[in-house]
Order: sequence, then C-alpha cells, then structure tokens
Amino acid sequence: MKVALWIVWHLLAIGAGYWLIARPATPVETTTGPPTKRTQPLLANLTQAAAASVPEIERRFASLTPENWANELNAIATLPIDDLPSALRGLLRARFPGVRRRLIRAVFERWAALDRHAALSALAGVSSPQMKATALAAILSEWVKTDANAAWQWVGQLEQDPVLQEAGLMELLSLTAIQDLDHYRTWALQVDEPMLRSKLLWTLANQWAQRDPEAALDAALHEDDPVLRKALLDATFNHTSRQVKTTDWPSALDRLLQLPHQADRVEHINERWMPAFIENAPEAASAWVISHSQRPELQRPAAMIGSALGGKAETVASLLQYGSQLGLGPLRDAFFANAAAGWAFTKKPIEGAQQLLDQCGPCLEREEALAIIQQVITPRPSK
Amino acid sequence: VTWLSHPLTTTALCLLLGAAVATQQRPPTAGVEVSDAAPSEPPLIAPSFASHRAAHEWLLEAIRSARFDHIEALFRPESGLSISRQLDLAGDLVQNYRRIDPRVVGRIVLRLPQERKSIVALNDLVTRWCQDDAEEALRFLETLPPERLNTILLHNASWGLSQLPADRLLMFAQRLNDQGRAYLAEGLATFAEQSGSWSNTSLALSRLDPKPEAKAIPFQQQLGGNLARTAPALIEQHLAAEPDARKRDAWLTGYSWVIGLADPAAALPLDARMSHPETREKHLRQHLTRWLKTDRTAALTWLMSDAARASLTPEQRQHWLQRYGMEAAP
Repeated sequence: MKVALWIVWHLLAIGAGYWLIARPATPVETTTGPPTKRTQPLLANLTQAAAASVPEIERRFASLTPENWANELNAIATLPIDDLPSALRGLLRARFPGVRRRLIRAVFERWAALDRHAALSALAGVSSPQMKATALAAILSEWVKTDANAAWQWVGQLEQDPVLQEAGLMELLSLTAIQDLDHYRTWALQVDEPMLRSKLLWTLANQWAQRDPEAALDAALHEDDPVLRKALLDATFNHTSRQVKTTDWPSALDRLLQLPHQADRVEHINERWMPAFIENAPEAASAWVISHSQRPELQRPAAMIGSALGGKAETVASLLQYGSQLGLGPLRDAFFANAAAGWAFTKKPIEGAQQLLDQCGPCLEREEALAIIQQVITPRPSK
Repeated sequence: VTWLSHPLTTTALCLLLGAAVATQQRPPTAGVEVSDAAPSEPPLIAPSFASHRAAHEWLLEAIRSARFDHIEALFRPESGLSISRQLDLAGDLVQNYRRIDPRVVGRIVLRLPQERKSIVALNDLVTRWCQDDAEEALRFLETLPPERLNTILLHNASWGLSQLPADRLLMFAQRLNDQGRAYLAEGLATFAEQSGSWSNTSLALSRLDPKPEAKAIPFQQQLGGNLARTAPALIEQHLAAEPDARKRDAWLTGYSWVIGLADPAAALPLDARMSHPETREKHLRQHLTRWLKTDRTAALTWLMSDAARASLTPEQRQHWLQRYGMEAAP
C-alpha cells in the first residue's frame, strides 16, 4: 500500500511539473506539432489528462478535415458566445488551411451577431493576414446591416494595419456600393493612393456590372476616368459573356464602337468581345464585321474571322465570296492572309491557300501566312 | 545516497522530469506552428501499382481517409516506387493541396530530386499555401535550403506574401541572397495593384533595394506596368529622379508595354526614350508590328510623318514601308 501511494505521489509530481510548463500561455493556443516518439509512451496517461482540460469544442475543431468540416456549419450558427473563443482556438489549430479559412468566416459571423466588440478584439489573435481579412469580412457583413457608417469609420482608423484596412475597405464597398453607385464613384475617384484607388474602382465596377450590365456599359461609354472606364468595360464583359445564349453580341459591339477613344475600341473589341463572339456564333460575327467593314479598327477582327473560317471552310469559293464583301484594303488583306494560313494549317490542298493569298496585297499578315504555309509544306526530317 | 531517496528530493526530481518533457512538447509562441517532423515510423511498404491511374486512385483514397503517414511512406526509397511515378504523384498531391496537410506535401516534394516536375510542384504548393495562409507558408519557406528558396518560387509566392507586414517580409529577406531578393521584389511589384497594400509593399521594396539580377525582371519594370494606367505622372516622377539609365529603361519598358497593348501609337514615344539601343529597337519593332496589324492606315501614315523621322533611322523606316510596297520619302 505504501509503495502504491509512493508511486501515485510521484506520478502526480510528474504531472504537476508537466502542467506548470504546458498550460496555455496565450489566449489562442495554436500548436499542431505531434509529440515525439521518445516521450509518447511515458506521457500517454498524462496527455490524456491534459487533453481532458481542453474544451471538447476546441478539440473537435482542431481535428476537422476537408471531409467533415461542412458538418460544423450548423453547429457554429447556434454556438453560445462562451464557446466561440474555444472554437477559434481549435480552428486555428486545424491542419488544413482550406478548412481554417472556410470556417473562420462562419465563426466570426456568429461572433459579430452576438457581440461585435468581442469579435473585433478576437481578430488580434489571428496571425494569418488572409484569415484575418476573412474574419473581418464576416464581421463587416453583419455590421453593415445595423450601422454601415460606424463600420466605415472603424475600418478608416485601421492605419496601423494597411493590408487589413484595404481588405476592409474593399469589403465594405462590395457590401454598400450598390445603394449609391454615384456617391461611391465620386469617393473612390478622390482616393490619392493610386493602387488603392484602382482596387476600389475595380470593386465598384464589379458591383455595378453584377447589378446591371447594361447600365454599367452605358456608364463606361460616358466615363472620363480611364481606370474606371476599363474596369466597367471588363466587368461588363465578364458578366455578360457568362450568359452566352442571351447575349446580344451585335448590339453590345455596336455600342462599343461608340467609345470615344480608339484605344478602348481596339482593346475591348479585339481582345474580349470579338473572340467570344466568334467562338459562340462565327456566322453572326462574320456578318457583323462585313456590316462595319468601313471601320479601320476592325482589321484584327477581320483577321480573326479569316482564321476561323479558313480552318472550317470546305471550299475556297466560300472564302473568296466572303472576302469580296470587304472592300479593298487592310481588312480584306488581313482576312485573306489569315484564311490562307487557317486553310493550310488544317492540311487542305495547298493550292487553295495560294489562291487565297493571291487576293492579299503586301502586308505583315501575308508574310506570316507565307511562313505558316512554308512550314506546312516542308517535309519534316525523318528521325 | 540517503538524501537521494528522501521523498522531497524524489518529488522535486519528478516535478523537473514532468517540466522537461512539457518543455520539449511546448510550441514556441502563438500562431499556427509548422511542424517539420516526419512521421514517427513508416507505416507500410507501398503497394505496387500497375498504372499511374491505379497509383492516383490509391492516393485519392489515402487522402480521403487522411492516411498521410501512408502517403509519406509511399515516397520513401524503400517503398520501391519509381522516381518518375513519385514525381507524377507529387503533382497530384499538390493539385489536392487543400485536402492534405501542406507540411506533409512540402516534406514529400523536398525529398524528391530537384528537376522540372518537382520544381513545378514546389512552386505550385508554395503559391497556393501563401494565398491561403501567408504566415504559415512563410515559416515553411524559412526551412528551405538556399538553392530551393532563392528562385522564381518567390515571385509566385509574393501574391500571398505581400499581405504580411513589411517588417516580417524584411526579416525573412535576410535569409535570401541577391537573386532571392530580386525575385521577391519582382513578385511584390507585379502583384502590387491587386494584393496587399501599396503603403506596405512600397515600404518593403524600398528597404529590400535589390541588385539587378540577370534572371529576375527588374521590379521597376513591373511597377511601370502597374502604374501605367493608374498613375502615369508618378512614373514620370520616378523617371526624372532616377540617375541609373538601366533602371529608367526598366520603368519605360513596363510603362510602354501596358500602354502599347491597347494603344501602340502612344507607346512609340515611350520606346523612343529608352537609352539602350537594342531595348529601344526591340520595343519599337513590337509596337509597330502591333499597330500595323490593328490599324494599318494610321500606322503607315505615322511612318511617313516627322514623328517617325525623329524616332527611327531612315533605314528602319525604309524597312517597314517596303514591306507594304511603299517608298520612304527623305
């Protein structure tokens, strides 16, 4: 009996020594390191005892995996406030960055709904900037429902953490811009710092185009600021081109031709709208170029049509017939040169490519087509 | 010997033993701790796979059931898996990065021979990890050997790293050599318009002060591109204050490249300001080509103008005009 008491006493002493050092030193405990092999057997009982002192929710959140994290979403939505610090501690110990990032939003949404001040204080315990930005976004999404002005003011005083501040500003703009686009446009254009101004204008343009792509395109046509104009045009394209079947491509392109600056017309028609139009409706795209063949900035679209039709056409005659509708000059040359290259590239009789090339005057496009044809007809050296 | 068996002494020794064990286990500070420890023992000899598909399916199943120690064992020499299959599977692991502990993937990739596939896998892993959790990923980067760290990997990582405080970045930069610092600066400048905060990034860039490195793109070039549309006046300020002709050319290169994408005509005067003859010639050629293919009439008119005479030699003008069957007037 005395020996047993002696053993128990000394085991307790080991446990006490362990606890004195191992107890959590910070409010948010974030260890994930496994115990070493050497200490594992000796401490098996002690760690069990230590683990028992960790709240169950913390242990559960720390062990979440990509396979089971989603099960916790409902539980988080009903967590009492006293459990949220443990949930956050556990979450920050989870091994998977994706799990941490997905659930931290839910945890902070719940926290902000119950006690916003406590949620804002808890941000300080999050070391990852991305995690912190996600947590702040969650708080702001709740805050703007009751007092958007206070949320803007709070983010405005975050100067000591400019990265978090910018993330907060963009989140707030996303949440509130839609209520008064003109007001936020004026505000964003007055921001001095150019990179931040640009980010805000892009955020604004995305909101605008998401709400009403037609109105965003209209705003772009009248916008003086080149950054916002480009952002509106890009955002409009991104939102419109997702609805391929309902997009009225000719009408959108007609409006783009009204852009006052040629550089804008060239960039947005050539790089965005025309390639998508050709991919989705090549016949209609060809007809649209024909109907505007007097516009010199459509030289590149004519070349794109040439490549597309040259690869698909079964007869040279159909290509000759199409090209003849383009008046003599850059558009016609660009069309025939690219049609010849497209024809040759798809291994059709090379005489057809020559026939098409004969319709084309001297130009860079012709030189490039000749190089492609040469490549196609030159036999590859046998290995 | 008698004092050694005294209950007070043995109790104190037990307390110390407990404390020593706890010290070994305790994490150093707050934040998510990165463990570089390999699993304690290899759990199995890898199964043999008839095809890459079979190996891939085994891997996915192991990921689903979180058998990361089994996955790690698969990449050990004794598993018998060929290096080429290990390299392919490492790519699959990185594709599934969000479903695995990234530290496990990092350890696996670093053990592979340093060749194209493992380099791509490491770059992809670091890029994604930095985007999800830059602080945790940075601690992994700090464990990399110099030959794996001071590479273009730092460019890709910069999207996520730019969100860390400048002081933290600069502390990390002390580990880098000149090439590493140049890649980090290149990346920070590249993503300055999209990620982080300019006040934070510009502070880091000003203190990094990287030397020009042959493999890295000068950060001035990346900034020139980023500011071209948003703040051309700011670029002009930098150009006026920059005494180094190579750095001025780098600013102009980024500036004219972005402007020239939509408006090659506006880029030509910027090209003409470049001091290095080959750089100037290369950019003039690119922009003239672009202009001639987007609005030939306007480009040919310019080639006949006084502005072209000021920017191009008579031979250059003749070269371009001849390709359109035209003659250059003196």
